[in-house]
Formats: sequence, structure tokens, C-alpha cells
Amino acid sequence: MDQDLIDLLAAWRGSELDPERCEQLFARLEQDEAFLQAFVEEIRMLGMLKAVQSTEPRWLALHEELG
Amino acid sequence: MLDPQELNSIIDEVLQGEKDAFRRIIREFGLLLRSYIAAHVHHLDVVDDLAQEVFLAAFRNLRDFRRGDDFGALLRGIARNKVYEHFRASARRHKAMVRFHERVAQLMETKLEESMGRDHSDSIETLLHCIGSLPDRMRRVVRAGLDGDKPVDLAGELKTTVGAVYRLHYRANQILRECMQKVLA
Repeated sequence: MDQDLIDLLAAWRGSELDPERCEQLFARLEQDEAFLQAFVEEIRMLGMLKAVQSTEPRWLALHEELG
Repeated sequence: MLDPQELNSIIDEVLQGEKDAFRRIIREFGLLLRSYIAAHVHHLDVVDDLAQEVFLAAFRNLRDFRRGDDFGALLRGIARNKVYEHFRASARRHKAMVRFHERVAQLMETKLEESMGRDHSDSIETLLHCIGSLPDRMRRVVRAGLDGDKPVDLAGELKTTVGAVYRLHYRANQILRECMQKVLA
């Protein structure tokens, strides 16, 4: 796992990153297809893990609308 | 998993006034939708609020759904707009990072849609089984997640570095993908 992917995931999940580093990472995403794919696979898995490990939301407004 | 005919008949029921039938759609697509939004946004309360807004919008505009289209893709399309609206609303507070998020999201959206278009709620549920089979340290990292300061806290707890926590999660994700493929094969 390369440092760029670590930094990108950290920024994506809420860590602050300086603007220059953001630009470097964005440039790599634009130019490096494999890097973009690796990032997508990671955030897809992180999204699934968050959803499947959390309790089901109550969605009161939605259920109120459905009666 | 609902087949297209079942989905059509649920939609018919809802449009004929049986609003309760929409709950089956929520059960079918809830996990998938929340996973998609959670791929973009890490605060769980925001994920769930946005998912609720997406379902409300889909319910209110159900009459416009073209039969035969992919309902999951429709939900993801609404969700994409909601996520971008959320980014813009947050941008007033943390401008630079939010702008970065929005640009990255636009860049990777096609690839994410390709990947998530193949997922369904059943396949995501297999993840629970797969998490249970991970070695202890990996399971601990996966359960904690990588949001905000968690990697720093975990590194302290596991007496390792933040980089090692990311690498452990990365390796765990590879094992989880293999496990899902094996279970679903």
C-alpha cells in the first residue's frame, strides 16, 4: 500500500491535508488509472463496512410519510 | 433479492395507495444505498440522514420511475446529488477540504458506479460473516474504521504506527473481498 493511497484515504475519511498535497494526490488520481481503481475499491469496501456494522437507522420522517 | 417483476408489483401497489409496500423497497435497497453514501461521507448520522432524504425523494417521485430501469442506479443517482449538496453546504465551513472531496468524487464517480452496480444487499450482508473470520488485530481495525482520529487512537491502542493501521485495514479489505467472492460463488 503506497503512501499516496494512505494520505488520500485519510483525507477522504476526515483528516486535514495541506492544499499542496491535495493537488498532488488529485493529479495522481487523474493520471494513474490503477491508483484511481485502488482508491475506488477501498472506499467502496469502507462504505459497505460502515453500513453493515451499524444499526439500522430509524428514519422517522420516512416512516411517518409512509403511514 | 427482489426480481424485476416483484419490484414492479411493489411499485404498482405503492402507486395504488398502499404506501406501506414501499417499506419492502427500503429493506431491499437500504444497505446498498447506505453503503454507497458511506463511501463518500464518513459521519454515520449524515449517511443516514442523506439516505432517508433519498428514499423520500424516490417515494415522492415513484410515478416517474421507468419500468425496467435499475432501481438501485436510480437511488444512487439521487444520492449523488444529495452528497454533492451536502459537500457544498459543508464547504462554507471547511472550504478547501470540501472542494477537494467534491473534485475527487466527480473524478471517481464512474468507476464507483461500475463497482457498486454489481452489489446488492445480500452480498453486503456476507461481509458480516467475513469480518468474523478475520484475525484479531485486523478485526479490531475493521470494526473501528478509519474515520477522523480513529487511526491515531488505534495506533496507540495496538502499539503501532498510523501507517501500519492503514496497511492492516488494506490487507483486511483484500481478505474480505476474497471471502465475499468465495461465499457468493
